[in-house]
Amino acid sequence: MRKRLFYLLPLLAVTACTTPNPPKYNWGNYSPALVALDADPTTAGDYEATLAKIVNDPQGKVPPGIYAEYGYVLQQQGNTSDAIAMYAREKNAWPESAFLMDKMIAALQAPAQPKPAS
Amino acid sequence: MRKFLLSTLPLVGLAACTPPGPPPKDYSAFNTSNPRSILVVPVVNNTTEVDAADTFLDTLAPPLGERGYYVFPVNLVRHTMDDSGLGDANLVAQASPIRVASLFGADTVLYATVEKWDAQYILLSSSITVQIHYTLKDGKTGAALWDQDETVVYQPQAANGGNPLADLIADAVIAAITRAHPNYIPLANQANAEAFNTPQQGLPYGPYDNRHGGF
Repeated sequence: MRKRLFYLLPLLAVTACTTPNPPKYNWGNYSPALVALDADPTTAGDYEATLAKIVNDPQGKVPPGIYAEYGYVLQQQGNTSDAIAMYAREKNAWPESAFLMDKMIAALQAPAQPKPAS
Repeated sequence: MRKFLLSTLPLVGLAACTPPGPPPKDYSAFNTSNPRSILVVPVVNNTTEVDAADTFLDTLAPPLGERGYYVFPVNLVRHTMDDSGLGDANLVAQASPIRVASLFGADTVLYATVEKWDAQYILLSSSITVQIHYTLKDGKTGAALWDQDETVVYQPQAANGGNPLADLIADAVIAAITRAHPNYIPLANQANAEAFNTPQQGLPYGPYDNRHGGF
């Protein structure tokens, strides 16, 4: 039995390098929607819907950056409170984003103050 | 002896899937830096296709995220850089990586240049080519951590039905379709996959992959 398993090992090894890893995240239509937005700004609604779908998908893992991308769309629409909430979710999910998200949130909370020199 | 040979078989199997290629890259600087996050900055365009840089930029986040890194929000970053006078990709490429990284709190900065992004329409042999140069720099030291040049060519399968006239028509149809909508995105995705995922040439897995640091 043990010998037989050994014979199978090379097959396993070959299979291992041809099978792509299962995706970690649900990217949805993110990249194509962004390409479309660059080519034609009137597709902004599609881009927003794409992000909303990813963020609200209960099963898909939300990829890095997507809460923030959605927050930025909301910010551009003047929806400050929801934008801040999305930036906070990005920060909570990804500690690497904390510096930038704090900066985005601070800018929205005190828009009248001059930006600190960086 | 037989047992010994048998025990090497798995190794042979593994070796079989890595075709002979360039020697392994030096990852000592990369491993010392041990980055968690990547800031993708606007792409430099060395082609005459005006959309190439933005389109290519839009393909970068998914493969980097899937590799296990935190990728900064590409569209937010692009607009924020615009607002800070860093909207020009050539300008950003010449700016200090330390300063650019410090604006966003990024461990590393990924620079990409589109060198080729073209479709050639020659009777019976149309082709699409995408060539990208990638450089990853350390946000704290500014040192280059990784560098890769990637070229991907796509040639539509020429028809070969044995009927010269039918083949000619089929090829003309393929060329016309390609000309109306040359779709570079699958090639850009392929270039990214090869650049980032090739063992000993690409990026080691990031902190959000359980193979962190390996290939």
